[in-house]
Amino acid sequence: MTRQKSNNHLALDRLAASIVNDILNMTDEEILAEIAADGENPKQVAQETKDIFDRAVTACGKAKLAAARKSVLADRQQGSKVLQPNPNVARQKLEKILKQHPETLSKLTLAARNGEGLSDSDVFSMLDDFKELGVTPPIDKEDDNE
Amino acid sequence: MAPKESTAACLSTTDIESTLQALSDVGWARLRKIARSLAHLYQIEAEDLLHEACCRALDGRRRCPSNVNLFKFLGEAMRSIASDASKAVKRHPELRLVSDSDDDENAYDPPDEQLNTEEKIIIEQEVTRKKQAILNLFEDDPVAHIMVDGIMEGMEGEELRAFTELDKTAFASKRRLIKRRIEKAFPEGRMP
Repeated sequence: MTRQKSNNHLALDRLAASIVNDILNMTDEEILAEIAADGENPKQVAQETKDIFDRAVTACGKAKLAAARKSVLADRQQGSKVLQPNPNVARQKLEKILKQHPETLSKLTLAARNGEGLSDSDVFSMLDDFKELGVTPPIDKEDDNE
Repeated sequence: MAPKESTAACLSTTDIESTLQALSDVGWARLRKIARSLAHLYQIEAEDLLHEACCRALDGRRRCPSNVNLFKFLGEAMRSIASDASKAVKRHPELRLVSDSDDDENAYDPPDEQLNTEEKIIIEQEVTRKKQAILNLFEDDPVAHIMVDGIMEGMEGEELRAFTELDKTAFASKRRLIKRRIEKAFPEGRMP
């Protein structure tokens, strides 16, 4: 979020940029000398700072894992929609195909012709077979609403 | 908004991580020094500042052009984060339990993050106070005071040196004095 900066805020930003620049231009020896002058141990300072970085690495790794997990779950949900179509819609499709292709209807058992005894998976399987043969139900408004 | 520069012109997050993993002790000390100095100025925690800058570099929210020194990149990232944080009056936004139901009655209505007039005035007063507190540090040193004033007005380099009428050695020395005095005056990011 960006808000308009006041002149005073800009003044602080400029001073901050100037100080950062000064630190960037310091030699390694000057950095170490200031740390020593502050009564600190450079090794300890370095380790404490690296610990902060390591925590950031861990936090980012966890965030990436969480994002990947979310993505996989979303894909899985999308995939499950494809694998589990609405059985009622599937039966309507099958019925339309059979009406459109009466020669196919005659080859089915009497029960199948009447739509009796067909499980949902039988219906899906038959639709898959028809699809492989290039037979698809006519498109109508109901299909558009799926 | 996504940065406009192409991916090829920037370091990958993996490059950034591996470069930082290989940093020398003095390299880490330099980063900590930048974080602390900014924390002093903006009244925030140095550790939080460095952590946030590292996170943004590692997850790609901030991208480092391949021709930019990594210290400069992280220094600028920290400065930018600190500046933005100091503008936010609502540092601790209200937390509410939110239902994940689709029911409209339970829909989450986020609090308004826009600053109202009173909040804007408070922030401006605070920034003015900080600026004055910094200038007050150099009441005993008119040249340093002029230099800080010049920096705050946007002067830099040769223009700033000419403004202070110092030679190069004295100018560099005065800059160091300014930095050190600010660091020592506001330890641990706390303003007086």
